[in-house]
Amino acid sequence: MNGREGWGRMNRAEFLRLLGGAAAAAAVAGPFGMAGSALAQAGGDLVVGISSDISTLDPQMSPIDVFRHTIRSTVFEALVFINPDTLQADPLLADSWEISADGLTVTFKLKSGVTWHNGSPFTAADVVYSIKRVQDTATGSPFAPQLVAVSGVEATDDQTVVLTLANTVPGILANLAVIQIVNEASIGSIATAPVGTGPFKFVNWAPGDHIRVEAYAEHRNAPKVGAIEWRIVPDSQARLAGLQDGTLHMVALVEGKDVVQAQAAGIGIIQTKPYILYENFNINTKRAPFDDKRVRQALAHAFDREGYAKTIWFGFARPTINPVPPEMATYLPDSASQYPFDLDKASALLAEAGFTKDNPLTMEILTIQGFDTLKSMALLLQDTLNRIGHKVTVRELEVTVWIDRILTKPDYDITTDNFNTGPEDAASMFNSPNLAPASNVNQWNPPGYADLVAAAASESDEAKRIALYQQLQTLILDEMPQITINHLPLFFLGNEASSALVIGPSGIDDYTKIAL
Amino acid sequence: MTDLATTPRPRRSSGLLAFLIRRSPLAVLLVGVFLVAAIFGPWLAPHSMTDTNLTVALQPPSATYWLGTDPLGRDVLSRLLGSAQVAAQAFLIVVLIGGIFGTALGLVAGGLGGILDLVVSRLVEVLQGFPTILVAIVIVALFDPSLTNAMIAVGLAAIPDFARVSRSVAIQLRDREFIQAARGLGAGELRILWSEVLPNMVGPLIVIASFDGAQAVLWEASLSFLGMGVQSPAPSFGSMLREAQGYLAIQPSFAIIVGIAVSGVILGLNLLGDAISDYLDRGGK
Repeated sequence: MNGREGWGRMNRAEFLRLLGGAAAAAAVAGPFGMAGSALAQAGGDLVVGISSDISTLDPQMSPIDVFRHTIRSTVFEALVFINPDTLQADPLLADSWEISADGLTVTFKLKSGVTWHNGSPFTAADVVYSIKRVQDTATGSPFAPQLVAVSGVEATDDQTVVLTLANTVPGILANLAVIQIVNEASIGSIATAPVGTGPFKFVNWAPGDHIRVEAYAEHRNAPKVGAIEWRIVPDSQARLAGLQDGTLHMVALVEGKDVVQAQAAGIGIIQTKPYILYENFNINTKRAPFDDKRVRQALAHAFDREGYAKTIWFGFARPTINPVPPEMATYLPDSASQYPFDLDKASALLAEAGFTKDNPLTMEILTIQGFDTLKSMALLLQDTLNRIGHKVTVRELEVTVWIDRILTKPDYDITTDNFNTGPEDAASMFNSPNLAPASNVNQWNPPGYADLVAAAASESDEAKRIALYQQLQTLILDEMPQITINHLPLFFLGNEASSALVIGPSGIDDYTKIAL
Repeated sequence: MTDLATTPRPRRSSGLLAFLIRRSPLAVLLVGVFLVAAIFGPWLAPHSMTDTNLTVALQPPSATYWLGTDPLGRDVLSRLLGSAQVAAQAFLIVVLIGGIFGTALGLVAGGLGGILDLVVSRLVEVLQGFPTILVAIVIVALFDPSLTNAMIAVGLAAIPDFARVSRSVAIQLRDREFIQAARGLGAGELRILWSEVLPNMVGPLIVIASFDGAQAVLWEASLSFLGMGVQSPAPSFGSMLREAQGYLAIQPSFAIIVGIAVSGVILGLNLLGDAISDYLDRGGK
């Protein structure tokens, strides 16, 4: 409401503007208004559209997806990188490694001549510090579960780190691939001005607007682009328009409807394997009545995974109730189709738990702004449950508020979420922030679960290992601490040049090969 | 607008509707459709406004779904009818808040004058200085996002319009003969404001209400577009536009239909405001 003339009368120009498809709303949202002014110089800068902002630049503190495509993939490095073609660990900060015969000691030789972006040399002490920082409960890192089996870490000299394990962990390298090495000297400013060893150095972060990094010339694998700027463009249509008019080179993580529209517009699509991500509902299993597994099972029956995959994802998603994809050797056969969409079954289970039309289940589903598919998921579950007489509300939260409600407090009933399946290794899936016994988003850790996870992770006999993981899947499918909805590939949209992006299965990507 | 106010008690001519139809048939048609949709929407809706049905998602207009379906398979026509009701509620809340508080402030300030006028006028100027969107964000952040909360913010922003108009009318009227006559008969100042001044500003207030109400509909759409208004699954013009926008290239009819509906309602209300203003300018002839 402009104050000049009062807002009673519109002049003709204002009125015409309003006619333009309620452009007032779009103008208020202003998703793309300033793209032109902040437009990076052509030739050197890769401009990438992302849907939401991040809450901290500390790579050890947020597992949220938007992170992997920004700071975690460019400014920082881990010891190893999981190669998407071989699914084996490639050297990154570690030059080579050796696993002892008993599987309990891993010795890393570090790359020499690596420097931090502030010029100081990178040494084994940094690795020790970083691993201890993630393990420290005071830090509260969501990656701590990846390191539960690590009982000791020490630097025997400047270039050598020895990791001691409490039990054998076949997937230890995959676990270490997500633990990024941070600089102790600059730790105080890591949340806002991070210093890493990666191929790009941090330049600035304008919350809600953009994040910018520049090529670090001294890096051993110097990037081909001069800088990367991630623009926060919450609106998917504006991101597509940005690709078409050249203000964006690439768009990270898009949904089915964007892929369909990009295909029609002749925009390139970069796609990973079909099970890199899964969408799910996280359930606060500590809070009544969600501590009753019948309620959780009922919710699983109340969601039409098939219909959702077909319509909201235009068939790009693969419905499943099991977070472990059939591609993994440990997959429990025929489990993906358990819990078919069945409202009678859902009603019956809820009735057993004491919830009927006369005593309806009241719950709030949280969902994150900027993720349209997740919102659709929330609305569909809300509608089916309300139709059988319950009282479900949906609340869309800004991502930083959402993180606070889900991870920091936690204070929620149910939330939509999406999650990296991780490396093709069941050990890291059951140690992920969604399922790790030590601490997980679902607040779920029944008696015996931690032992089973530890036993499975340390079992070196393949057949026994598979049996243990299948036992774990049977357990989570019965207990239903989270409702898995589908498996998905990651989609990026971009021009020819951006197809050189290497999307890593461990949640870290390689931007150095992209040339404009 | 002020000159018409000096004409005491414009005749409540039964020719208003006839005048409006003659002056702006489009406005009458659009607002008529809007009112019918807002009042009788729930009975007219061919399908449920909230029931999802993924087997018929994103359908173009058809015999079963006259205006097609949205991405969750909900009937667009039924949801538009529901949106009209929400828009009408927005209109009413804003006009009531702006009208009651704004008119009361303006009446007292203009009618009594003096230090009171000074204080009220500055207060109104302060209110006018608040950007609506910011006030809405604050209110929604403090309380929950809902239609009422969003419209309270918009209603606050409408207060200055009503206050300024009613104040200027009151100032012009307060020394007129019929007021002095009332005063001579022993009527108190407040009574004079209520029974002599207020009835004479109904005309300009109706004009303000029609424009501010149209703006309220637009603000409701804008705030719901941003997720700060009506919450899902209740339909709203804004949230429907937001949903439709993501499917522009896949099912353009969805966005076009919702866009036409919103534009039609706003256009109709504004044209009607213009027509009523003309009618009053002509002294109701």
